[in-house]
Amino acid sequence: MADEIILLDFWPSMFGMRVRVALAEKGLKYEYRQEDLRNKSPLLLEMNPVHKKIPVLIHNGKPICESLIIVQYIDEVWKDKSPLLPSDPYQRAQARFWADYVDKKLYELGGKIWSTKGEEQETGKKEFIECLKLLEGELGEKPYFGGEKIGFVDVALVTFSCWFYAYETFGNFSIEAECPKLIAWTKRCMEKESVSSSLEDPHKVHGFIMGMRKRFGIE
Amino acid sequence: MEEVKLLGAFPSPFTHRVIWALKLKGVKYDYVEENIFNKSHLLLQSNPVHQKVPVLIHGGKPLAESIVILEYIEETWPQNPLFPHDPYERAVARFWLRFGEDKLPAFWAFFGTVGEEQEKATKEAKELLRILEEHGLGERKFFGGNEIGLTDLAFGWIACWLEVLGEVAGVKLLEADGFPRLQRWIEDFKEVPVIKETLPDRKGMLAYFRYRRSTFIGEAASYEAAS
Repeated sequence: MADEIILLDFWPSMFGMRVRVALAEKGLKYEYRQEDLRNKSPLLLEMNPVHKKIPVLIHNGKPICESLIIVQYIDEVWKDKSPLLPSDPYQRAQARFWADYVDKKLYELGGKIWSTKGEEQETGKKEFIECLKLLEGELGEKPYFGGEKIGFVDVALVTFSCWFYAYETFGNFSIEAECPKLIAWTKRCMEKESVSSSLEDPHKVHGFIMGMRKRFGIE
Repeated sequence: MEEVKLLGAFPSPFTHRVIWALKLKGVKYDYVEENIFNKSHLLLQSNPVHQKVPVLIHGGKPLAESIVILEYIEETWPQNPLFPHDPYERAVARFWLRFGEDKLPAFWAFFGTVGEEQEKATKEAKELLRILEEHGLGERKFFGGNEIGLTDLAFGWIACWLEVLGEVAGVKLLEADGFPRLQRWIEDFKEVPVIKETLPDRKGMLAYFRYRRSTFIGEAASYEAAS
């Protein structure tokens, strides 16, 4: 029986993009369904009753929620192609640690950059850069966080890069000036089709956030 | 066999998750009690990113974040499995592990608040417990099924800490009859021999959390007075 894979997503979400990258890495065919987050589909509410959020992967009718959990699921089910997590338990734990770090920090701090002003925004920017620098240090001289190939942490982090242009514009700063190695890493990742075909155009993302700022009256 | 060391703190439910996992697997380890108000050099060196307990050091290699440590323990010492083999069941278990972590500040907000803010926080905590009761636990004996698993360890704080925090903060969250499944789970969880032997001393916990609450509401009370 052929696998039926459906992805419920919302195009600007860096979390949804993680799943798209993972599916592409594994060469999987799936049905992509765009959700309107202001008018969530009955399917989304049924498949993720606890959080009612995207992304949700529906594999042969069964839902999996939370982007990093979905990526691990994809990696475990389709384990013979392009493994994303290392085979060594300690390396695997380290990958989970850093992916968890990205989740704990970047979305909230990035949110402060585009949705606040003054001192709150400045603090957000400062802490955001500190986090990126820490991640840059973790990357070190490796081509990818996963070593010679992209791995779990690469997938967790690279999808934020299409939001960088928006953060830089609204925050009035340059991420490349602060973290050149990390930006070099994002460009390296974008050379891979699984990444470039999954990430959204940064200008489109910027336009989306501009719309959000207008809606929330942030200027 | 490589040396296993655990840096922890007795009142920390995060530390206890790791202790329980190690004991359930029969793994010998050295325990170092940390004073979280005066952290050791080893702790700061082993967990420079978060500077928190627990930290597991296996063969000299440190790992931080209790949920990450739990999965590592499961993979390194596969005896007495605490995690499903099936990828879908694992995804479900990880969902609840993640839910527990993400919602922890909301679960515990009642502890650091007073007055109207505490009422609101208490209401929210009860809603989260309702989600666990109905969606998380459902008809199962344990979150892990018929036997305890990593998810049960992660929610172990409900079995012991919740009642202590509630007593200190003057709030009762798990009313009798309100959460029959969770109540039954708490009893079953505390009966597991390893858990029974290692639940932290209640008097010590009360003293510690009374102190912590006094530092929180000292601030909250003065804010209330000012507003």
